[in-house]
Amino acid sequence: MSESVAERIARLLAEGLERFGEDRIEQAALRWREVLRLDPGHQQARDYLESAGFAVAPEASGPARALGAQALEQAAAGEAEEALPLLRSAAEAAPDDLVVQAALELVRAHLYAQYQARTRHGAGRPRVRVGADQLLRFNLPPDAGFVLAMVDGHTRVEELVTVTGMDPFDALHLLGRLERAGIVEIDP
Amino acid sequence: MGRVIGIDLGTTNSCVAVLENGQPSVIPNSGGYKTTPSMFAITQDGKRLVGHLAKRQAITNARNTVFAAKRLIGRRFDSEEVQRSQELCAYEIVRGPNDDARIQVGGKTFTCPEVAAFILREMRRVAEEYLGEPVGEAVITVPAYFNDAQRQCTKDAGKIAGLEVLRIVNEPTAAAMAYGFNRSGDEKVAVYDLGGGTFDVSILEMSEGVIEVLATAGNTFLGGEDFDRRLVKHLLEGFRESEGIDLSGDAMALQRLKDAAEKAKCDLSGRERVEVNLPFIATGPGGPVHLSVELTRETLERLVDDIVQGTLKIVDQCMTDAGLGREQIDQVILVGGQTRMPLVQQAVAEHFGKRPHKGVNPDEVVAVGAAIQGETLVTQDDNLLLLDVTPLSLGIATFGGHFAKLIERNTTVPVAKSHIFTTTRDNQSAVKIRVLQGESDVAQENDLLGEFVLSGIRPARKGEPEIDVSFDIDANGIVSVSARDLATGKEQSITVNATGTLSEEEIHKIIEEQELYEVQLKE
Repeated sequence: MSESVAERIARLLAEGLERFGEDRIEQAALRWREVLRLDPGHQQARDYLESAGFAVAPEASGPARALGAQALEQAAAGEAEEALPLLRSAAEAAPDDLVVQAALELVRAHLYAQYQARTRHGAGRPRVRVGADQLLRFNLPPDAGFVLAMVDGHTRVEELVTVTGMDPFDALHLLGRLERAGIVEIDP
Repeated sequence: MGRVIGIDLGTTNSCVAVLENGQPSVIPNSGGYKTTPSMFAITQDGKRLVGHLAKRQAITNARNTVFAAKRLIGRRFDSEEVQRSQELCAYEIVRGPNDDARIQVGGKTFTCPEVAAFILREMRRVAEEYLGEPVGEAVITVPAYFNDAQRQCTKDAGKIAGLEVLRIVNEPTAAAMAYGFNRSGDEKVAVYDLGGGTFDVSILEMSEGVIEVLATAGNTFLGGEDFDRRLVKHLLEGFRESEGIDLSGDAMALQRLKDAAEKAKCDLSGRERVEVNLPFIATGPGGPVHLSVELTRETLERLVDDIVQGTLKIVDQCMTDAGLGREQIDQVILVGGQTRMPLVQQAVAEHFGKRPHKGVNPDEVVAVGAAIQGETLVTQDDNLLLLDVTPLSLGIATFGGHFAKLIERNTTVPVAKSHIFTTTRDNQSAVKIRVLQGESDVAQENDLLGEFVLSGIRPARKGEPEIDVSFDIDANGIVSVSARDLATGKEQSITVNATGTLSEEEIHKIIEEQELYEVQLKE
C-alpha cells in the first residue's frame, strides 16, 4: 500500500480516537469505517469499531477481495480509471461482498468528482476533435459510439448526460474516455 | 399593451411567431431552431424535458417520452385514435375518470391538456427570451377537423401554460392568412399540410380579405415520421444483410438510426445522394462495426411513393366535399416540413396541374398566420376578416338513437341555430339533451360532446310541449347550447364540457403543481 494511503489511514485512526474521547461516537465510527474502506482488513479499525459497539461485517476473502484490494491499490496510486474495471469485475464476482461493493462505490465517487471538475460541473460543451476518417482508427464500444453521436458542439455535458438516458456516472465515464483518447474536447 | 404570440402547436413540432413592426418574425429557440419538437419526457431522476432534449432521448427512454399527444387531446379513451396510438406509443395511455385519455410517464398520470401545456409553456418561454418581456396572450392553431372537445382542451392547455388564448384558429386558415397577408384578390386555395405525424388538406376561398374554409379532410396517422420509419427499416435490413447483425432490439442503435434517417431524409430534399455514417454502432467478432451507406433520393422516393400517393386520394375526397374540380384551384400552399421533399412537391403539382406556391416557409407559415391573427385581434383591424367553418356536423340524439343535425359541417362560424323539439311520452316533465358532433345518422357513432337535462316541462300530451334548443358555435369553434320550454319560458344553458376538458379547480391545481416542480428544480 502506498505511503499516502497509509498516512491517511493513520490520520483517520487518530481523528477517530480524538472524537471518541470527546464522546462523538458517530463521528469516530465514520472515520474508522473509512479506514476499512481503504483497507478492508485493517484489524485496528475493526477493533475500535467493535469496542465502540458497532457491528462490523466479517472480513471476506477469496479472489474477489484480492482483486478489490489490488484495484484499491491502483486507485490509491492515482490510477482510478484503470482500477475501475478491476473493481467492477470483483463486484460482479462477489455481489454480496459489502467491502468490495463499498470499494467500487468509493472509486466511482472519486472518479465522478474528477469528471465533474473536468466538465465544469456539467456546464462545458463537448465537441468532436477528429474527422470521420480518423475516427475509424479508434476502437470504441457501441455505448461510447452512442455518447459520441450525442456530441454536437452545442449540447452541454449536463444535457448530454440526460439525453443519453444512461446512469450519469457511466455517461461521464464514456465521455471521459473519449476525451482521453483525444476524440472529443470539452469547451468552456 | 403586451405582445400577442402565434403558436402552431403541432403534432410533431411546434413553432412560435410574433409581429414586429408589422412584419411577422418566427422566433428561434435557444438552440437556434425555429421549430421545437412537441415532445415531453421524464428522466430516470425525475427531470422534465421538453423539445429537442426530449426528442434526443426518445428511443432510449421511450416509455417515459411523450410524443404526438395532440392525437389524444380531447379524445375518449375508447376512441379509435387513442386505441391506435396505444399500439404505436411506448408510453402508457390510461383511461381518465372522465373516460378521457391520459398519459402515464415517470410514475405520474398527466391529462392531455397538461402535456400540451408543457409544450406551450416552452414556446412562451422561447418568445419571452427573444422579446425580453413577459407574454400573456396567444393565438393557437388546431387542425380544422378538431371538434369542440379538442378545441376546449387546447384552450385549457393555454391557460395552464399561463396564456390567455385570444382565439383558436384552424391551421389551414392560419396558413392562408400568412399567404394572403397584404395581398388582395379572389382565389380558391388548396392547403396541403404534410407534417411530422398528420396529413390535412383544406380548400379555402379568399376574397377581399375574407378567408372561408370550404372543406377539410385528412389522416391523423400519416406524416413525415412514416417516411423516417421506412428509411430506418431500409437501413436496418441493409445492415443485417451486409453485417449479419440485427440492430432492431438495440435502443441506442435505433436512436442513432432514427436521427440519421431523419437527417438523411431532409438532406435528400436538396441533394441527390447522401452518406449515412454511424461509426461504432455494434460490436462484431472482429471488433467495432460501423454502418456506412450511401442513400439516393431515388431510393427514398421508391420507399415512400405509396404514402405520397395516399395523400392525393384524400385531396380528391376534400375536393369532392368542396364541390370543386382541381382546375378551379388557383393556388396550392404547402405546409409542414415534409412538403420540402421534391417528390411531394412534384406529386402535388401534377395532381393540381400547377406548381405549389413557393413564397411561404412550410414549417413556419401556420405560426405566422396565427401571429397575424393575434395582431388583428388586438388592433381590431377589420381589414382581414376571418371566416372559419365548423369541421363536423353538430346536432342532438333523437328518439330511436338517430342523430338530428342542426348545423351541417363546413358551415361558417360563428353560427347560431335553433330547433323545436318535443316530448315522446305523455306528461313527460324532463328531457335529456345529448349533444353530438359527427356525420353518422346513428347517434352513438358520433362524438358525444355533453348532455344536460331540461326539467320542469309543463304536464301535457306527448308531442305538445315545444322545446326550443339553440346551438351556438363561437369563432373558436367552441359550442354552447341552450334549451327553452316555449310554454313555461324555463331555460337552461350549458357550455358543453366535453371529454377531457378540465374544471377551473383542476386547472388551478395543475398550475400549482407545476409551480411547485419549478421551485424544487431551482432548489
